[in-house]
Amino acid sequence: MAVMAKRKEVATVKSAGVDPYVASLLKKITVGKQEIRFRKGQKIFSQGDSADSVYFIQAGRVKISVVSASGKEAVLAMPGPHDFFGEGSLVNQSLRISTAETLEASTVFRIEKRAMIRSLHEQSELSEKFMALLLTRNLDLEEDLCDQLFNHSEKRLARVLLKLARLRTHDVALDANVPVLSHETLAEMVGTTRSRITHFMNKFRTMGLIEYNGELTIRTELLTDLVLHG
Amino acid sequence: MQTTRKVAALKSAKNGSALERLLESIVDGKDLLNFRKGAKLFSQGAEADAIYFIRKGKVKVAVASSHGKNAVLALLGPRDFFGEGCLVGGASARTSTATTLEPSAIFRIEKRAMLRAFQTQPALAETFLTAVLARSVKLEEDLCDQIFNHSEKRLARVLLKLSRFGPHDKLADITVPRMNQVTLAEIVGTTRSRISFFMTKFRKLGLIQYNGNTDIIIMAEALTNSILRD
Repeated sequence: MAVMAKRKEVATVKSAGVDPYVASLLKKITVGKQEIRFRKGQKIFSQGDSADSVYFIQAGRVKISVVSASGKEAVLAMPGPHDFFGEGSLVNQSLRISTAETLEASTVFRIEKRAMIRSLHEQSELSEKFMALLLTRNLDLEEDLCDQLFNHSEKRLARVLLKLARLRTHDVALDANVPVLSHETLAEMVGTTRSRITHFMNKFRTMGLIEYNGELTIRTELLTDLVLHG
Repeated sequence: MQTTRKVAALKSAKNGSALERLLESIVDGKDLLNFRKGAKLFSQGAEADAIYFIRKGKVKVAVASSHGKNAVLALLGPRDFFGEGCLVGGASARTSTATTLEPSAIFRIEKRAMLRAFQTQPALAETFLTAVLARSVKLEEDLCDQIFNHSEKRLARVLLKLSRFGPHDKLADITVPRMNQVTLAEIVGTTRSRISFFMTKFRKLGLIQYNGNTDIIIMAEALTNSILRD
């Protein structure tokens, strides 16, 4: 077999984040891929379902949550455009360990496990991008874990709000408008009770860190101050 | 040329030995280093320029908060990797500190060498991708554990994880080196005095046994039952 030597500059695995380029790589998958539209609040899969595919978000936002044996719920992530979810199916997860539900009207690709694995074999660029996304995801998860271990619930809420505004604490930031989330959902993301969230959200509003006007306005600079020095 | 390959599934998490074999082909930019117990491989804030693979020994990965609190993110053993955050674009500084818990032999592979190997050896990229996915699943589990469980149950789960360092999944009683209660507190995310209280309770319940001054016997089945019943 003729091997074509390809010399490429090796810099780093390309940084993940919002990357429309992945979408164009996925276009090459023709078999085993479907585009599906969901209304707000629809379940894409549920904890306990058989896990046979990976999802990629083209537009919209999805909530990934887990329910404990005693009925408590925790929100693990809120992936948005150009994020993958449900990728546990590619390893040895045969059942979904979480539930995915749309937070707004969303368009997603559903890619069958076999099709995704085949593409990862065949397209080294896709495999590289996918790895970068997963490595970034793991860094985020480690950060969330540290947040749980170090911070009290008020600071965790501030951090969740900043993440909703899609910011890193070190970015110079503008205020962001996001759809209003129920205090129940925020409680599940922070890992505390609904009543604590209500208390803190009122406090944040009085302090001018957030505003309600149909949407939720997040004053990113003030909130960042709270996270860093509060 | 068209090659058809059997695509089954990404090999499951037990692909550590495959990874080890594939790493053998990396010649430049790879060193096998020997460390004493308690040696620092890298520190939080240091430049991140290499990834590590454990050949023999045990490593603790920990994070310190700006207020001086410590949290242990992972305890790793043979065939585990760490420091992989360096492979992603933006992250150039270590977000954690890695310390050996016993004398260890560890491969240090320069970031550039690893990235080059991904391009020249698709099998390595794929095997590593699977390992990163498995790590992601584990991190989600730890995060759920923090959000759902109280500290006693978290300690029970940490002890069970300690007893499964090897490749075996069976629920046999196992003897592991005793770990100091400060470290256990940093893994669980609670105080040393709580750990001391729970360890005494576990001993009375017959879930653990001290064996001399150096070892602890973990009654895996009894511990599992205590977690599930609760």
